[in-house]
Amino acid sequence: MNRPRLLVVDDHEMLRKALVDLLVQAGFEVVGEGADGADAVAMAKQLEPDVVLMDLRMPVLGGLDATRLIKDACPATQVVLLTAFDSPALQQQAEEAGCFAYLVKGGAPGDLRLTLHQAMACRRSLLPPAGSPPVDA
Amino acid sequence: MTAETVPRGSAGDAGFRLLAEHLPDIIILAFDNQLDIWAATGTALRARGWTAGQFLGRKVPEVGRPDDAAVTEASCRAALRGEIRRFETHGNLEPSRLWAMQFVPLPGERDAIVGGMVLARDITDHRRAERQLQASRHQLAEAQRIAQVGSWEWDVLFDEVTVSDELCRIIGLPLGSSWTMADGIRRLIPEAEVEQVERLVERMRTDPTPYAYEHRMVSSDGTTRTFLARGEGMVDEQGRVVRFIGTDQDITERRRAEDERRRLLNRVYEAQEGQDRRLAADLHDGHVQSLAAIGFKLEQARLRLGASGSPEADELLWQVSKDLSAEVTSLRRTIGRLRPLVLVEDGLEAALREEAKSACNRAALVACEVTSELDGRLDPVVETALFRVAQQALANVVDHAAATRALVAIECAGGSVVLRVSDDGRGFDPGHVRVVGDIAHFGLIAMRERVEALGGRFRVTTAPGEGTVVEARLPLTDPAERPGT
Repeated sequence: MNRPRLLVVDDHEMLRKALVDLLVQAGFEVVGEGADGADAVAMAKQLEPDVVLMDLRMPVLGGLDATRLIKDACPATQVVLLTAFDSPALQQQAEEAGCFAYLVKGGAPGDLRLTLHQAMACRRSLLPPAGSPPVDA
Repeated sequence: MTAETVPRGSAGDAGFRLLAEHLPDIIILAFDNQLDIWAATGTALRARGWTAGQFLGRKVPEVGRPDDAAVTEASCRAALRGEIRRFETHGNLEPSRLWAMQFVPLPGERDAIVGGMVLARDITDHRRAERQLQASRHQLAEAQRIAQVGSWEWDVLFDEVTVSDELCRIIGLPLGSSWTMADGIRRLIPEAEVEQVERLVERMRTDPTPYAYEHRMVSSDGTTRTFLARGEGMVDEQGRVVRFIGTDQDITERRRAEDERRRLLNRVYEAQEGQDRRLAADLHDGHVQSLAAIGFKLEQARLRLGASGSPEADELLWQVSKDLSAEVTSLRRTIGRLRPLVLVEDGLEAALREEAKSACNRAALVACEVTSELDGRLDPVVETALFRVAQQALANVVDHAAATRALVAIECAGGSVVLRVSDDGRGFDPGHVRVVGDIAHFGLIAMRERVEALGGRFRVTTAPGEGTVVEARLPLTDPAERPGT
């Protein structure tokens, strides 16, 4: 099985680097890094990662708007929001925007890895089997 | 009563007898052309134990004070010429008494003047009463001046309003002004308040109940001043309101000071909220992110050690990660208190639900329900104030009430929004929460000031064993009209 391909987007550089290092150590493939929502949308379209792991509050374009655009462009790509805001209201908005999960920074690191694997599994279930013709063919 | 006279059979006998019998505190002396006294009588004479004999046969100037002899003689002679003369003087036998002396001609047959009469009236008590009345009036005027209170009276039947000198001075009208009620309203009440005042006046015509009413009046110099009017009606035997009396206290400066205080308080709250927002942003953007990054690094270290590391090291790193996670959670809670994100994002009701949930987690509350009549968002300043009051009230429920149930309710009524936080806890005796420390401890002062700064009303209803209800009522005004803007 291929390693899960991740796009990591967070405007806090130190945190993003630590996160990337951890994920690589944990066996994920980080295909790209971004610092804002606009980066996230552009790179998701270009790299088609399995999962976008993204912050909520970012400059240029926030995580919720970026999620909507990513889900429009790449429906199978799963978006996991990782934010410092622990708010049920925001959690609800994230769900409505099409996020796979809403995680709070500072939570148990094991939860992060587990969620990413679940998102990966969900992504695979949405993709057509290998060798099947394109849907719009 | 009969006058004692020297035999004379004069024509004026009947006249002065009539006077003597009907006027109190009076002595009447009748004298002839030679100023000889031929009759002396009066209630005042007998009241003092004097006898007519002390006067009869003597000349008028001899019975008074020697100092008054000249003026007395001149007055007698004037009376004989048909003139009336008056003067006041002190008593000869009792110098402490004050007498009003009047000299009048005494006509005989065919209206020829045959003598004169002295009407001496003891006005000591009358003058004392006058002085006391004058002093009282002066004191009242002085008190009105100091308190900036004017008084007024409305004769309902004749529709005449008369006002005190002080009220005239306050609103710049000529002293002694009076007018009809309709005219007064037209001249003094600002147009925006006329309808309301007219409604009150209409009620006053039939309802004498005491009232207090705040209104504004336009002074003659064009400035508008604020007054607190109090009045009470008087009724006749048929129960009709015939008169209203009342006061108008100039509270312009007090209102200005209160507005200024509210304005300053609002600026303090705005500054405080702003500082909290900045601190929350700093903590969120800096410390929380850094601590989360450290957590990721610790987890990475754990993974890197993997199977080659000792179980003790792994356990230690896991424990450190867990502690760090708890610290981040605590820090996030602090940020939430400083700047409740849900309040900013989702409004008051959502924020109160979060707060209620948090209160349940922190106390033995079985339930903390939130009900709301809100339809949409409120002015952010009002939302923040009500949220802070609810936050403090719920903190009190958690820390002091020992309640099992609490209710946070928001109602909209009569242009106001009302927040009510009630619980079924132990309550307290408001009379025992007088110590400043206690009040501050319960945050009552802070809650009250926060509400009053926005022109609202704050009330706590409680009793031992009866639970507590904290109520904050804020006007739903245009933010531009808010105190402090």
